[in-house]
Amino acid sequence: MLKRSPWIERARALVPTQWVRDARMVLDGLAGRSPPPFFSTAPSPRPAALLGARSLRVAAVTRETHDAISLTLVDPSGAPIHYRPGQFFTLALRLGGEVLRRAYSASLPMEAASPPGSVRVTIKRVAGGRVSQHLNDRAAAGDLLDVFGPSGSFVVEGSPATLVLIGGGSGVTPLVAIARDALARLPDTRVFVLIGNRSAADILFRDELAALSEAHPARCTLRHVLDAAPPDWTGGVGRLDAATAARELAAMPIEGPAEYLVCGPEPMMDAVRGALLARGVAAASIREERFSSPAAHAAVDAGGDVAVTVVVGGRRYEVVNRAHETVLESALGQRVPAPYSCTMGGCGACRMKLREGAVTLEEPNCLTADERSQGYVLTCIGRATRPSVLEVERS
Amino acid sequence: MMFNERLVNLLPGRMRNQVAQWFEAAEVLTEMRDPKVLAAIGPAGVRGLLLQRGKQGVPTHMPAAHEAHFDWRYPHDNAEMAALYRRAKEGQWNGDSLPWHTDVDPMNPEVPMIPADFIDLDKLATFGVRLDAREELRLRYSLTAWMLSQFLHGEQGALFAAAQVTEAVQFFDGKLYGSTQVMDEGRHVEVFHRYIDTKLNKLYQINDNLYVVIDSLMTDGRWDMKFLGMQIMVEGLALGAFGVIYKQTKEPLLKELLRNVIQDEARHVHYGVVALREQFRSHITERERREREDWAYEVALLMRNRFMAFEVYDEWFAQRLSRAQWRELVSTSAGMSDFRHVMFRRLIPNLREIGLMSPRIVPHYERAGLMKYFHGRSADQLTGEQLLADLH
Repeated sequence: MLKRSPWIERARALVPTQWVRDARMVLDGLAGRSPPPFFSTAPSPRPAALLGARSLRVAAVTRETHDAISLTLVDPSGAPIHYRPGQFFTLALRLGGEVLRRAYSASLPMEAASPPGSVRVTIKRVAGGRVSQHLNDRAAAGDLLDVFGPSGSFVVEGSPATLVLIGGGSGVTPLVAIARDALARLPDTRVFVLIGNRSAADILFRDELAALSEAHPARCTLRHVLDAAPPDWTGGVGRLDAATAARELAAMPIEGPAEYLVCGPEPMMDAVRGALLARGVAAASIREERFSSPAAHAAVDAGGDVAVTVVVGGRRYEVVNRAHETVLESALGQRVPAPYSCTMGGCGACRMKLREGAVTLEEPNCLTADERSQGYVLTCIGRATRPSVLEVERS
Repeated sequence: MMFNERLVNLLPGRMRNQVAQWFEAAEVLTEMRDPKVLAAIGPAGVRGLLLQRGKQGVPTHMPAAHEAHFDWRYPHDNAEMAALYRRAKEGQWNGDSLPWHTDVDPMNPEVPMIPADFIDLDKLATFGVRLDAREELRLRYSLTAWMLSQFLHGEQGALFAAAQVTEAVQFFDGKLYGSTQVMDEGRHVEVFHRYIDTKLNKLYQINDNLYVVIDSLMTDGRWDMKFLGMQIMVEGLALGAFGVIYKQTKEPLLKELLRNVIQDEARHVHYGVVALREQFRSHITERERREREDWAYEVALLMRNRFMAFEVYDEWFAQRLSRAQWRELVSTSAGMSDFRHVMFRRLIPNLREIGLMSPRIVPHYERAGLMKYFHGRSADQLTGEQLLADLH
């Protein structure tokens, strides 16, 4: 066989790429291969307006379970809504003279949205939750809603070999979008899904998850656990606590390094985190999305004025964190040059370190578990509950 | 020409179109009589017509050699430009505010994007190609998408050229005005792209001749050539094209979009006239003036003769018509005649106003049939509203 001379290779390397393309163009032309006259274009990503809400129309209301609905939202301008699977949208509703903001995750990846360009968010009725009850009872096609986002960093980066998705109750919402996206887009990724619910009637996206695992039997393992299982139940039984999580995970053929994404109510999240750490999973491999109860929001909304010291660029500013204001709103209102960008807990630009005191945060937000444990807070969605000192760390 | 055609016909079929295309390119370049004009356009001609740099499917890199002109004294040096700057600030609009919720169906015969006689179907039939009603709608859809795609590509050129010109121009008031034009062109790219992206879903490649004009003026180091090319020629072409579609389309979103864009364009051409009038009358030699006069004439002819929707030909008729037949069809159809009419009605008075219509060039324009536009109003005497009113 004729071996190509390294000199030819070297000479080729000296010819500018542009000349190679030019020559190819001319030769293609002579061979009757002309460049395509046009491209069919799919609508391309458009940056979302982060600082302001946009008005989205409810195109459809779908009942998912006895206490959960999905809203299909579309932009009335026809512009497609862009987001990544795992991200959430914040709905702002005016109820009883008060604006209440609640975050709901997209339950389908963009590519699977129907109609194209829409987003499906899923809302489970929460006992005493004014927004979730209002939407479950009253939402109707044609309604216009003020929507912020997408926000959040509970997304899969790159193409991990193994994804383990663990959800409790409505925590399955971002996970079902992530699972569908990973199975469609990442052919080398194995996906394990573990979902806990009280009863069979509470399981959200039961059919969708089953269809995904049937369509990808070699790459997708699905397991449900129920607190109260019916007689013919073949899944796991028991509340999804540390012991159940440890048992169920041990039964799954998870091999090699894996990325764990966990989403659900607070006690379940803590239990699962403990079980994972006990299994030897590195903290850096665990990603969490906290769905807070309305009570946590109330804590942020309520309370009186609190004195806060904010340190920016080494300078100390004394700020009064007023009732019904976030730390950021108070700081900016009192001319403190505090950093910020999205103002809704989605970008991390306003991150400060809590040196003293206590700050409650609206959930979910983009802080990682590591950041939380190191005492970072987001001022744009945080309120001091007692006198505190916050500092912008110098990079 | 005859010799060329016979030669081309001897070639195997698939090679024929390509070689015909190259002969056309050679013709464009050999027809340029002034060697300086040839030197200015020639390299861009080779890159655009022969190498088809705009269609290689990768981003194009064009080296620029102009000088940025700084002035640390910030003089108020041109009242007319300062007035344009004030007007431009007040004339800003938000592309998001257009009625994007409008449902656009390019195939709906009730709301035609362009009129039925835009292409002469009877003539097409005499060439042996008959289209049924649905094909005819599809052809009109293609032509609309082609034109809007060329507008978009032209606006990208205008965006970068406006930025270059803002750096290079010597009037400080011109620089401030220029910054608004950069914003305007950015917005035009935004709205045309959004229209193509979300309503038509079809983006045509840049026309080779448009590429040549853009390449030639982006790589020319002389600021007044950039001005002449972009502010007078390309913007003039744009005004003509936008005007025709604005007048003829029944699609409400497109009409509203063009109405806004035309108002901006009127300011851009006006700026070109104001800047170049003084430059050409008192700051360059007669030899330099003549070179610019010839350059403008060649580019005007290039636009009149060559802007022929060959990308649509490639898509539809490459196997059914010769390039010469297509050229004849396009140049005699009502839509394209209208387009040329409006374009030259704007362009010729502007060239007169900036001093590029001296008696030595007039006979050439006369031969090209363009002198009938000589006595029209130039851009500095027209407002955006008048431009729109003129089109009704």
